[in-house]
Amino acid sequence: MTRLFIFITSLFFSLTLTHCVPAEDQIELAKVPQGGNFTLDTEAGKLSLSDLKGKVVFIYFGFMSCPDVCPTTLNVFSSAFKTLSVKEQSKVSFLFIDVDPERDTLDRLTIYTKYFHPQIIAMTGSILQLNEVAMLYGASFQKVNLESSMGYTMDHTSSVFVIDQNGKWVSTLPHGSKKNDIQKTIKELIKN
Amino acid sequence: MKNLFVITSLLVSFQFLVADTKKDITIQNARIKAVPSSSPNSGGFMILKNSSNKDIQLIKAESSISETVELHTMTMTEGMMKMRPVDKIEIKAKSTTELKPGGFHVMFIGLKSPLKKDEKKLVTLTFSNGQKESLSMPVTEIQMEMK
Repeated sequence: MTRLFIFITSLFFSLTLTHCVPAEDQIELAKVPQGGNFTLDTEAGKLSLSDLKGKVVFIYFGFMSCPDVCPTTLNVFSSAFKTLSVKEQSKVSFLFIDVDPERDTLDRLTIYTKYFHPQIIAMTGSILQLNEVAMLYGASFQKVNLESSMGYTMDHTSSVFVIDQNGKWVSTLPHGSKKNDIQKTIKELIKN
Repeated sequence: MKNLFVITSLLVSFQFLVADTKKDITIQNARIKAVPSSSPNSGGFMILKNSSNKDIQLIKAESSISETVELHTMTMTEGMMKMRPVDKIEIKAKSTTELKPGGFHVMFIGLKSPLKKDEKKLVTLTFSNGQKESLSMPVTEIQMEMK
């Protein structure tokens, strides 16, 4: 009886311990993108990732009150796109998914993205919809109140998710990627 | 002759007294990020060099180009970019602090009118040593500079 008790208790503890992984690993696992289709709003109406099949698509989560990281990312991608041929430019798209719909309206967002490059499309949606898309790509964003006249900021993943011409997530470009990293990625993925 | 010598010495000494208020902080490559017309905010960047033996802080930035001007920093944690206001930006003795994309910056909140590339904007910086600098900062495209 005692041996059975010890055996059952040990089994219970062993099973419990297998659920425990170090905190860092848990975060890493949660952040691996699975990719997938989604639909959000643009100024021209609803747009799904699947509507862009045949194009190499870059996905980024940002917001307009961001003075540094977002414009800098849009700048480097637009300068990379400008080095492509006209045909190649028609085969790329950049989705700027705005995570601050409280302040950022689609008309102002479109002015914002078109300043950088015509192939950059501004999208947004409800927080619930945005969260669902973020989860597909292992991205996060969070509203943070500040002691600042900004009121609040949005903490956000700053990587760029790379989608191939079949709509499949294939890689992630970290923040700070240079123009030639982006050019190389595009050249490798444009197959037709 | 003696009087002339005394007067000259006094004048020379006075020069040294006045020269003690030399500029401990010098500023280089100051620029404001060009942003689309619908962008409510922008960032200012520069290199601050402290030639003195004491740590000095940038404690205030002012400009009429926006409703408010604050000092901010950016940090990256677990792949997430986080922007936070700071009270001051330190420039250690005999060293340099750079305000650059991905790090410290002057934040212009609530731009009063769209920024035009190559326009120059007046910004005044106040430091903890009492130094106040008025800069004419050009609006420029700023490419990825970190990493």
